Amino acid sequence: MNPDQYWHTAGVAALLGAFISAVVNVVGWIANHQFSRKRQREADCGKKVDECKRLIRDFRDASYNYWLVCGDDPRSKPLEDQIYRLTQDYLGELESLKDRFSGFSHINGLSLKKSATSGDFGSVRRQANDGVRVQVQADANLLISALDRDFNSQFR
Amino acid sequence: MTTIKVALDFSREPGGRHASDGPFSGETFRGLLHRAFQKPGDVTVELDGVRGYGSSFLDEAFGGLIREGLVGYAEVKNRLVLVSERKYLLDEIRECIEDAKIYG
Repeated sequence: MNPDQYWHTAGVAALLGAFISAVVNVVGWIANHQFSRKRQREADCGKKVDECKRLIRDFRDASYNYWLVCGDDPRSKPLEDQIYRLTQDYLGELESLKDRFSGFSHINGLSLKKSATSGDFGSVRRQANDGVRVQVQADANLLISALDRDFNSQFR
Repeated sequence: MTTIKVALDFSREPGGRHASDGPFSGETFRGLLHRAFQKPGDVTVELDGVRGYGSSFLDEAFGGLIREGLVGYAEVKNRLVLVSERKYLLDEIRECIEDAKIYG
């Protein structure tokens, strides 16, 4: 190999090495970027799911206490107001979650609201009702389980 | 077309099922809806701007309209226009109407 051939071969090898290094860097950057995006998405979704679950638990507890007393009890009206507010909070948060993350589209939050605010809800003649309390707890737990299941199936 | 703005034309705090539960019950609102359906054209109900709706209120107002034979199911489906930013509210009222379908 004469000096010209040597330098020509060395130059090609150097260029090839630089090219391969650049490709590896770009692929690595893309993979890292995708991984970071997935982690960020998981974190964002996790926050929203946690907030939904917190609001559902608050709704469940307010509803439980509401159906523990009769409509003419002085504790009834403030609890009723709380239920109205929490209904909008948890169903609104659930809608926002479903809008942003497609994996939750089949979750129905209305069953819980119906369990808690049907019958004599809002009536001063309402009687305390064990059956409604049990149903509200069961529906809230089902909803929370569905949120956990769908979150895990998407990210775990 | 008739438009009912619940917050302005009825109450910001609708609640209860029967008229005996209070002045802004589902039964009372059903009367307002019934009168609107007696006029020609669509009946638009703007639902936002109130404290919230219990399922007892919605069932008595919208489902009751059909169950009590005041307006037929098909007519409600064809003429009732619901307006709200809350999708779940629209879904719940549609469920009330579908549940009452067998009556009208």
